[in-house]
Amino acid sequence: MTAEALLALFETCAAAQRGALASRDVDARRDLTDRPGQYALDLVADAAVLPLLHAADIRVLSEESAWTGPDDAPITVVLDPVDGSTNCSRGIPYWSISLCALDAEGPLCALVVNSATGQRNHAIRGSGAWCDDVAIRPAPTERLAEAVVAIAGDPPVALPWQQVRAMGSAALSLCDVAAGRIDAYADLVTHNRPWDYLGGLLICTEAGATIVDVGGRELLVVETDTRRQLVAAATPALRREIETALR
Amino acid sequence: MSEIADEWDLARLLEIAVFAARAGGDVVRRAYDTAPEGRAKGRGDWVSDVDHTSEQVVRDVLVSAAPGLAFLGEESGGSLDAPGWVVDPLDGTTNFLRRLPAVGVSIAFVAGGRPLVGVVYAPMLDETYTASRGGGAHRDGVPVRVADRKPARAICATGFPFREHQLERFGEYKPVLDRALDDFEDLRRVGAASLDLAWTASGSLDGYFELGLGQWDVAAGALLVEEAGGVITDWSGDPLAWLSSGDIVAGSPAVHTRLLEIIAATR
Repeated sequence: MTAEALLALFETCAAAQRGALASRDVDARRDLTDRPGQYALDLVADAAVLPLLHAADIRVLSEESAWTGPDDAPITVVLDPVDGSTNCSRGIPYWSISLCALDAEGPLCALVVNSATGQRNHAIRGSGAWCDDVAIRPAPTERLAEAVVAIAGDPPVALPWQQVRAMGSAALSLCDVAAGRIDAYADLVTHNRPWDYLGGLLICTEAGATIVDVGGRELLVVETDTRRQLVAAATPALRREIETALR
Repeated sequence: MSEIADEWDLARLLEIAVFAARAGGDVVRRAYDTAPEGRAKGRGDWVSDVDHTSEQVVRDVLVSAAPGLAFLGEESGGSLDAPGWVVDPLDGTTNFLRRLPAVGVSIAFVAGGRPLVGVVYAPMLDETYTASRGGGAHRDGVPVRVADRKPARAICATGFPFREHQLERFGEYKPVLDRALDDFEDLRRVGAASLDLAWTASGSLDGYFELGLGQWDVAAGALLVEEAGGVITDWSGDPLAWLSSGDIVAGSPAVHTRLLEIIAATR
């Protein structure tokens, strides 16, 4: 499949996810399941999206259902059916679906949609990144003192940043970095998994933002039990300042 | 308190405030996709032309519909020695300039040092939160209540002291932040106090704590929380002093109690 065809399929997946979760009055979906941190709504969204990917003979790694689909498929899609599930369960308008297609050369294309607002972020390897079909690029911010930084977890010290945001969706925060809405994203609790960040990673890199693991580990891993501690930033200088401050 | 409220036609004042908030919100929404020029007003705090225009529009509506009342605006200043309006024409200016949609227009009618009417309108999210003292809190006309989650399942909003004059208070704030992250499920930093309070009132969030806010940031949202069954105090538990100090603790009864316990334990 081409990147364009995959993105068209991803749009269908995003619509299916929104359709499955659209009703505000389905209280059952707000319940937690027996798995820590998993809501019923995560399973509802997974069940709505998976068949669409399987119908295209795609191998899928999903946060909710791990590996499914044909082992020998040329395309693997890493799926988070709902990133920011807690926000979704509470009606905080910052939750998303993240889809990233990988071929033999790595991430090929990605789509991250804010399901509450409809804002669409996508990227194609070697071609660029877009928000609502307008090309995006990160802010020129080079100094932490001038930066608005989204964080997950508790800052160990009073970092000299200008302002902090903590919104509860890594996928969307990475898109915010890519589009210059915020200057950086710093995970202070080491909990991001590939489905949280692979879509945002391609959008960041194609937009021109920089993204690393704090320990220097490889980010392009497609495994269920991998955690990485991300720092994404508008510029390398800003990223280095954050990495130094976190040490 | 009820005697003061009885002197006023709160239903009429609420109607006026909603109309004014929507008018200000229209200014904000129209400007959102164009790039307003921000001018430095202090570290981490910008003001844009949109602030001024929104406040002017809001003020025009309020003054023409209810002449003779005092007016305190974030942009134009004023005082509240007499009963009058407290207005933040664009709460979340930093979000707005960066096209993050968490912005609000906040309007309260305050008499005797307490808000009697409050409106928070989120133009980019199209949510309208309203409250009048004794009349309950509503989102888009539907009654809302604070959540009844236990503290261990709670998510609270907060704001880090970031303005130049607040940095000295980080030592007071940080241990509370640390304890809150231990005791609650998680925290959020949205960047718009009016929405933090509105979402606490509607049960999306369970509580909110911040230091050194302006009256225009909190007057309307605090009434929303109270009328939704929640509790508002300052950081020492005083039920009235928060409006003048801007040190605010808001939440459902259980979460508010826990927040005050956390603060007391760090002092």
